[in-house]
Amino acid sequence: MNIRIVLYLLGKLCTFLGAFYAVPLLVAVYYGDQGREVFPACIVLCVLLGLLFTKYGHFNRYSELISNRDGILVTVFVWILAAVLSAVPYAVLGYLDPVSAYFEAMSGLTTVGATVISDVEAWPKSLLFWRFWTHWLGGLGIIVIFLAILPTISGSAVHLFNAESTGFEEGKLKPKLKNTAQILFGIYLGLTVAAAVLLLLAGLSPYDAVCHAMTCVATGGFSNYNSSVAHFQNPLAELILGVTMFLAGGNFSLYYNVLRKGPKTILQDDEFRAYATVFFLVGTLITLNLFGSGFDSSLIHSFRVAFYQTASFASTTGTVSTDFEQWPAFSKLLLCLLYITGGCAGSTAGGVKMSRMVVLFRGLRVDILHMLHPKTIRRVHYNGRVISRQTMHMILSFFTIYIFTVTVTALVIAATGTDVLTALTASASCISSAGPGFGAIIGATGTYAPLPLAAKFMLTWNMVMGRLELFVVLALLNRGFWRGNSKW
Amino acid sequence: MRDYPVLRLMGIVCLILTAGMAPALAYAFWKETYMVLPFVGSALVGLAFSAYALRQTRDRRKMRLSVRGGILFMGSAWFAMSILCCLPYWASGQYTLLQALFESASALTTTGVSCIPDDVPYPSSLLIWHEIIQWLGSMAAMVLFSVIMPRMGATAAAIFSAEGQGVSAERTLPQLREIVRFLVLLYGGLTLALTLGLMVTGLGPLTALRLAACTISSSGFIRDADFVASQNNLGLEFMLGLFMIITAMNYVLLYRFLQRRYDVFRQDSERKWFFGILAFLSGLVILNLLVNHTYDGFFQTVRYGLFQTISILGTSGMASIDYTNWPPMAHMLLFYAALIGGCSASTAGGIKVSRLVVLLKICILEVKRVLHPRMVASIVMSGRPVAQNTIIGVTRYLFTYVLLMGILTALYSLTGTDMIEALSTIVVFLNNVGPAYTVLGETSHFQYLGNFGYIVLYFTMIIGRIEIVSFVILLHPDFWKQHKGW
Repeated sequence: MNIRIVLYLLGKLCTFLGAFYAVPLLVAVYYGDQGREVFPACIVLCVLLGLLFTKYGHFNRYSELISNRDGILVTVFVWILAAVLSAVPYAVLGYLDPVSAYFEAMSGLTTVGATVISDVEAWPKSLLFWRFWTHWLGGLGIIVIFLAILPTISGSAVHLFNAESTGFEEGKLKPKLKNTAQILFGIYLGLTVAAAVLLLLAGLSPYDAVCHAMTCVATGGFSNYNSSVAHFQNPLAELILGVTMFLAGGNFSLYYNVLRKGPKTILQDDEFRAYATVFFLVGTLITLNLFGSGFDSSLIHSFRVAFYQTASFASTTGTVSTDFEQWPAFSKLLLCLLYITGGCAGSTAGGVKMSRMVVLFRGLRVDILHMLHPKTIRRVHYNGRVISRQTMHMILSFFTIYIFTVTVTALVIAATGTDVLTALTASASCISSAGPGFGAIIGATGTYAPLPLAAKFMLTWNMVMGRLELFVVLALLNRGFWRGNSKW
Repeated sequence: MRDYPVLRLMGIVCLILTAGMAPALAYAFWKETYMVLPFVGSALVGLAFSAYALRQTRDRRKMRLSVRGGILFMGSAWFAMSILCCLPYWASGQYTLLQALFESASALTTTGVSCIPDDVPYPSSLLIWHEIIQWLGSMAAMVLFSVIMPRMGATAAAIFSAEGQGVSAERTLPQLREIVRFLVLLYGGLTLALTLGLMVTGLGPLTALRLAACTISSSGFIRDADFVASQNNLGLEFMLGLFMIITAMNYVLLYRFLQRRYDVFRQDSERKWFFGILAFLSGLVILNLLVNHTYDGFFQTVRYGLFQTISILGTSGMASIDYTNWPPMAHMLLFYAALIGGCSASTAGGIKVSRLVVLLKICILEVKRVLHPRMVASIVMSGRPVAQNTIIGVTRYLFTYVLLMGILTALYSLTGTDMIEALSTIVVFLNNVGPAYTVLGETSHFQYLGNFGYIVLYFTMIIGRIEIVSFVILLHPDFWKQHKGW
């Protein structure tokens, strides 16, 4: 293990984070609230830590290779350190206890959107802005890291992310790292600005418009109102947010191709087609269920809330436009299924990801056909490419690990005395980076505040695991990882 | 039905079931004359069908079961059996047709839930019938999955058999006919042994026999759901627990054990893991109960915790105590125990221990592979490497299982239940557990379920019993097309 490389990279992160703290400081100065006291201190802390780490760390980009193990360590600790540093303002101002603050910060950075704040409206505006800012930065980090940086790392580190579905779709983007990152950043920023402007036109205040645009583009889920989006009761705003969330759950590199080759490409993409199909199917079923069961007497209104909530869960955002906890169980279970499917690969959404689901379904079909016609040879195709047995095995293993992780972490949460429904949905929700769960505590209008500290701590790990596609974090549990072994 | 051997097999099964009506009919003649007519009528229907089927298939030379025939039989046998078995219920006039189907499927698949509540009188002859078909149904499933499916070619074995090429597919096993006979004898012998054991603990011979039949079949259906709890008899609970463990083990492995092939027995991975999982789950349950001070003494906690874990893991679902007030973690552990189920080729339902072990080993291997990308390693079960085909088959099974469980839960929730009740009900039915209390602690009442609910649960039970995959294959249109290349 080369601790100097790890330190160096973490130091870089601290410095960046210090720079990012400048934005909420500006907001604090503008609104003249409590944030003025804490954000300068945060900047100083981050920069000092950054200097300290880079002083003791060392990394020569040209002569040194990052080993597999250091890569894993850095990837995991980047998230943990970033969350610890982002939690500072919440804890220092005394709004939250340290563990809850860490939970809130991790939830922000991993774009989960689960909150522990029971009365969010009592918070100063700049501190609230910091929450949205972590969402937006976290989302940006994911897009750029997963789509631009990782595919270009050569050598063994690539294997880490073979599990990431972009692994079997290589060659979609321009190979030049800097260029790609710029384009993706452009799309991300463009979507945010467009959403913010439209929301402004729909009648939201500038602050609300910017914050909600950021939360939706990053598929986060925080809100600056206790009742989330339901606070506005504005159908137009819900439409804009719904479309933004739906788009944010799609593959960003696909959008790049759309810009380059025209809108037809979007319909040729297997993953996006499946994503849209699932979205419309679930939305329609929920509409029919709400209207048909007599829960909602107006078809238009059921349509509105059903599709908004479906977009929110399909993209694993988790903003709330209605108290869906009151819905019939069928609708709620459909939303739960969206936890598993998740959004598209190459987006900020979580879950198993649509691309994997498509391959899993097709694999099942091919297996059945093979049973029926043992002498024929059939392959699974995805976006015109044949899926190798190796990839199929990886995807099936990923699904297995996903299910096991959810069940085991749910058991840990239940061990803290939390009821079964809360434990199961909290665990699935945090791994899939959705946010809200089901049940009396963490339902549509609830928060994670009443959960025991141990459960909150477990859930922060769920968030990191979900974000890093499980394998990387689980590798830390391996005894062999911590043994001194030169053959890395 | 065009398939020659399938028709013959159906005829035989039908004949056995009709023969099973005899004790119930005898009892009806003796005590409940109003039930004579329903049983005679059902027996005639059964006889007529089996006579037709056996007459049509007299030529033994055509008895070669194809893969398609095997799937067809697997997929349709339980549906056909439940239709025949529901006739006495239906004809008794106490049930609607759907309720009768639900009741007979619940018995045949060893789920063991009744839609007639405890306080409504239940004709004794029907009760006898219920107990007979659950005993026969469980035996049929055990024989089918232990010896017939593993011999249906590599493709079928990879998909159906939970262990791929495990102990059930050993080359050194005797001829099909002999091993089937032996397994049936073993099954009957276990039932008799448990009956004697229960008599020692102080039960009357008839009660002991009935309780033994429902324990060995892992059905757990007792008319008086609180029977075990109300007896409060430690010896009884010990006997039941012991035999629930035995019957949740691989019957072929038990056969090897009786043959004194202890090396096979010792080496079997599934057996080791089964006891490991049992110890792990019950240990956690007991620990959780102790920490929460649910029961006063250490001894009592161990007694209830252990019995309940065994009962749910072996998918019997009997209760020695009302566990609805247990803490959430204990409920969750029982919930997972229901999902895991017993060993392959046993009378238990569930995902099966061997599949779970393969899945766990895959997870560990893949996580290790993150560290050592070029590692070459294989998964070993019982000292033999597991084929790549089997690995893909097992992971695919999990995917199908989760998918179907989600769909069925969503469908069942349309009957107006809340989420957790829908989930626990489906888990209980899909794994053929069927306890008096559902696993997550809600007491369910199935007598007021609408027709839709009965249909969903009927299919859930049967899908669970036929190991899901055969049902999924039946759904594929290609299966029903005329083909030459079988």
